[in-house]
Parts: sequence; C-alpha cells; structure tokens
Amino acid sequence: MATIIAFVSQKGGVGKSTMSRALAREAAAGGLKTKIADLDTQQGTCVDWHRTRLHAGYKPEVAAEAFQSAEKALGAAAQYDLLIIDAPARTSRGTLEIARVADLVVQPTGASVDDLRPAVREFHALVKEGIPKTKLTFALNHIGTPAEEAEARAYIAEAGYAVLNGCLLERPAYRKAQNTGHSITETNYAGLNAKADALIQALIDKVQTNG
Amino acid sequence: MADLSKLKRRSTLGEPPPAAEASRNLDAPEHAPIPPAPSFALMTSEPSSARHVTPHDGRSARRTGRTLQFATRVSPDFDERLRAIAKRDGLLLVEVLERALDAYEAEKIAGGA
Repeated sequence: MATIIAFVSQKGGVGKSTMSRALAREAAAGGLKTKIADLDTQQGTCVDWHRTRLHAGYKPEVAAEAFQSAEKALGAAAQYDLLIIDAPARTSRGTLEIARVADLVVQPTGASVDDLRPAVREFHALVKEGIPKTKLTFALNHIGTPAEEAEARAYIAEAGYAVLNGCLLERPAYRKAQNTGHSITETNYAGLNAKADALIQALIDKVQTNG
Repeated sequence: MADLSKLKRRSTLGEPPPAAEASRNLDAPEHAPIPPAPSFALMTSEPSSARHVTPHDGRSARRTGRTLQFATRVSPDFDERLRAIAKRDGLLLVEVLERALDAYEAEKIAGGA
C-alpha cells in the first residue's frame, strides 16, 4: 500500500500545490513511484504544471493526474509507492475521507491570524471526527521574518498541533520556478532550494516518525 | 542593562480558537454546488423575460467575471444575525451566506427533497 500524504486547506493560495509538487519531485528523484492526485478539477494546477514540466523536458518526470473524487484517487493508491493528494481549496466530507486513510495530513498556512485561526478550526473538525492529532501537521508558508515564523509556531503549539520544521519564505523566485515547470527545490537560488528541501525533509521525517 | 530576553513578548496573534469552535465544513458535500448562471432577478423588478440579459457597458467590459454585484433588502434582524456570525467566526458576510446555501442544499439532498 502506498504512503499517502495529503495537502488540505479551506483556503486557496496557501501552498498545497507548491508543496505537493516539491514533495513529488524529491520523491521521484529518490526513485519512488510517485503520483500527485490533483483533486481540484476546476483548477487542475498540478496537472497544468505537470504538462509544462513534461513539455520542458525537466528530469525527473513527476506524474500528476486529475481525479474527480477522493474515493477515486485513493482507489489508485495501490499502484504507487507514494500518493500525494493535492486537495481542493475547500474542506468537505472528501477531506475527512482522505484524512482517514492518509499517513499524514498537511495543512499549509500563512502566519497571519486570518490564516491561522480558520486553519486551526479545520484541524479541530478533523480531530472531532476521530482523526488522531499525530496525523495532522501544519506547514508554514509565505513567511517574512524569523519573528513572524516564531509567533506562528507558538500559536499552533498553543492550539495543540504539530508544525513542520522549516518553512517557505515569501519569495517571487518560488513562483517563477513553478511558472516554468520547476519545483521550489529547483529555483536559481541555492539558499531558497535548501530552505524548500529542508521543509520537504521535515515532512518525510514526520511520516517516518508516525510510521 | 537588565536581560529581558527570557520574558516572552506578547503575541500579536491572540489565542487560538478552542476545540468547541471546530469548523463545520466537513459536513459539506465533496463537490461544491455549481453556481447558477448570473441572474439579475435579485436586483430588478423587470419581468422574467427581460432577465439574464448581460448589460454591455464600461463596467461589464472591465470586470473579470469572478464575482458580481449582489444586492437585496433584508430585515434588520437578519442583518444583525448575519453580521454577528461573521464577526464571531472571522468570516466575510459572503462566506456565511455561501455556507448557509451549502448547508441548505445538503439538507435538501439528505432529506431526499
């Protein structure tokens, strides 16, 4: 059975697709048979990115496919070592279905209270439905300063949830890289690549700790 | 000079919401209802045959099509309840309305209506 890692959020633009792509890229480079299940059929951002990457001929190839529902995506899991679920920008019964079988549910979030407060409420809802807190983790994105990161970490800890070590900084270079089919670990800046790589490594470490 | 580094700075984020404030989005159907075609019925008293006509003016040419103006008259009580919920849950007014509509449709589906 594949390891299933899901990126969920009630909001768009928090980094679900960004982190899905980076994880998929690193997993593919590591030799894992990996697929991104893009559940946002209305936008299909990962599928579009996959097409751009294929067209550009970047290696390693990263597979992405649109699925109409969580059930259909999960049904394909057995064919892969790692199934990465890029969920739509809304939570629903489908989110719960995913959380029940996923090895790890990652909710990317910015550091503002407008991002954090509703994000915590989403995890509260999953816990209320019986999802163990150990499966749930936040990942910080769009971070401006170390102080901002520290404050967000303290807030999440106070709410009772884990947050991955490392974070993604608010940098146009990440957007530019993805515009051309690269992942955030493949920008033109070694420091930004290392920062992104550290976050993905923290994610993988978290899965191994849980496993 | 005194070393204050061990004193915590007051957070600007406030306290996180308690478990009792869990989101209710997990009750929502997996697929969001497809929004109906833009209708001007709520803003006009024109007969139905005159509705669904897209006005062609400067504003319509500029607009992105992502949102449209939605105006209607409501009772003071409705307005107060809507705003109170939005404030309590940190939502926009439109987000409360969207969720209310989702809940209504989910209830109709569950009830087989």
